[in-house]
Amino acid sequence: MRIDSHQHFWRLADRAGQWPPPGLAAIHRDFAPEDLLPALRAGGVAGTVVVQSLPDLAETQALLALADRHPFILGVVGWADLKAPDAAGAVASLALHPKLRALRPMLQDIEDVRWIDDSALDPAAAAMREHRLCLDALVRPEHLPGLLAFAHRHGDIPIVVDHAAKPDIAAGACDGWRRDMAALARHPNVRVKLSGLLTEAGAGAGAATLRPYIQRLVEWFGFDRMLWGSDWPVLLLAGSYDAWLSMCLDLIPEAAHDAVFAANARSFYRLDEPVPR
Amino acid sequence: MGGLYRSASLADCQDTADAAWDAGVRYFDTAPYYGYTRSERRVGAILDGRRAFVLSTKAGRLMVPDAAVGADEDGWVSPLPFRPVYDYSYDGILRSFDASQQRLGLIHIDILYVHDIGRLTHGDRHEHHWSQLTDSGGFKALGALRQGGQVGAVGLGVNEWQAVADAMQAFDLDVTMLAGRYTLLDQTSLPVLDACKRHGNAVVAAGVFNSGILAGTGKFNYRDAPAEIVQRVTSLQACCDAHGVPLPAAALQFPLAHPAVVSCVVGARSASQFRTNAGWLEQDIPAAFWRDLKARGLLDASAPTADEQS
Repeated sequence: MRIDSHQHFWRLADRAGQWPPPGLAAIHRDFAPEDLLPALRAGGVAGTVVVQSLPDLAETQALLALADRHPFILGVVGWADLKAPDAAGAVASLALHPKLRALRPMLQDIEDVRWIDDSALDPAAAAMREHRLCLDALVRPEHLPGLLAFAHRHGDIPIVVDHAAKPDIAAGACDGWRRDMAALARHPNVRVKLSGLLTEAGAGAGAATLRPYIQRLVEWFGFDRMLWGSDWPVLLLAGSYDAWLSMCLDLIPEAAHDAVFAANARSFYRLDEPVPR
Repeated sequence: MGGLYRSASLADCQDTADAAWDAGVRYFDTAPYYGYTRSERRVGAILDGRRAFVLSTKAGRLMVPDAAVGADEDGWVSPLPFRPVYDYSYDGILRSFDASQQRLGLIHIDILYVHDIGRLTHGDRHEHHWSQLTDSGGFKALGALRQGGQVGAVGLGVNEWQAVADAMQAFDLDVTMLAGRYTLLDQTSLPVLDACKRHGNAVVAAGVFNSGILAGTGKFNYRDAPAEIVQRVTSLQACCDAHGVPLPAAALQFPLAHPAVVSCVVGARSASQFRTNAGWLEQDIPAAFWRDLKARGLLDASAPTADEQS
């Protein structure tokens, strides 16, 4: 049975005009568990990891409440202000929830591309380490050097790079992405999510467009450090849940399916551990 | 250094390489196929003791010992007694690389090109060889060499653009050597060059004289030039004469104006030939020449030229 390592839920009423904007019509509506369950069933996906999408503690708490009510939600990636004076306390407090597994500072939206390379994060990082929380890196290629510095400094915090750092597939700009992803991949504690790439490739992109990117990711990380995720509902901007899952199942050799579509998410997020450490 | 059409002595090769090195050339290209391994041996000897160069070689033909190799094979004069056998599979690529390491005397090779894959070379055997690259793991072998650090960059070394387009859909190419298909006589590869630029596949332009006809010999695409090519060259020459531009200089400088092209490789069999090439590279070419080429319909209107760049 498969695990979707990356998906979101939201209610527009709770977002007070924040992303997504009305212009992204396909995703400018509420998305709740009942909207996702049919696709999960059709795809043989038994569980998911729900991921925050607002820099807001209240949103994380709402997601944790959803996880309480829905057994298919195996883990939650939340948010805290990791540079706040009481960051360590906030992290510890969130970590009390049995399904909280990782934190995701929304680096792609922060003006300072090196925000993550900062000793001011040390108290939060220590708390994450103590509570065995992972880091989800929501980054674009320009954030990778900073992330690399964080990975050097905090080598024992497991990191996963969401959406393979969003290479600009449509425009094709590649060199910084290649250089920096190769460097990150040399850290054994860094993994990559096979998610979001259809969105980067744009409308009409197919397997042929993505194949060289996925081939390169496999070269750097191997199948053992790759986690499949849908990035639903954002995925709907580019294609359907089923189409993305099928494409990935085709592009990844069958022998690696259990790892990429289930086992790696389970081990990275420690989804089999029902209670906190 | 492989002895194409005429042999070159080892001493001449040393002189040529020294002249190039002294002039600042630091990128050298070879292949197991050239001279049936003679070129790689010579390049290895010449680079022995030098540092800070970039070297490319190729894989896709295993060079198998064969005493029956004669004095003139595939255009090579006095090749060494090894016969090429196509093998683009995982094992074939790795074995070829191993042998290149030994012949070159180097364990790290900067660039490895898959040599001559495509319909032009293989005809109806193309599907078989393509499947060796894809299904039988040839690309995987390249990836393993790249990831393992034995090779810095990988790509194709071919005479046809279609193979490059197909390869970019299967594998992440760093660099591609494209011979004879982006020249003053042939810009059919323009759409693929644009795709290369977008995908970060750096293009090394080769065969810029189309086997020699643009430098004053009678060869085009490794054969004697047909009449219509001779006619086109005559027209190009006329435009060159009108602007006082040596045709080989225009031929050498033209590909470098495309944003995808990062380098141009040219063969030379003597130090003086090298110096002539270098002179053509440095020749001042007036902007009006390129405009006139296009006005006379001798160059694709969308081909980037030096006069358009700021």
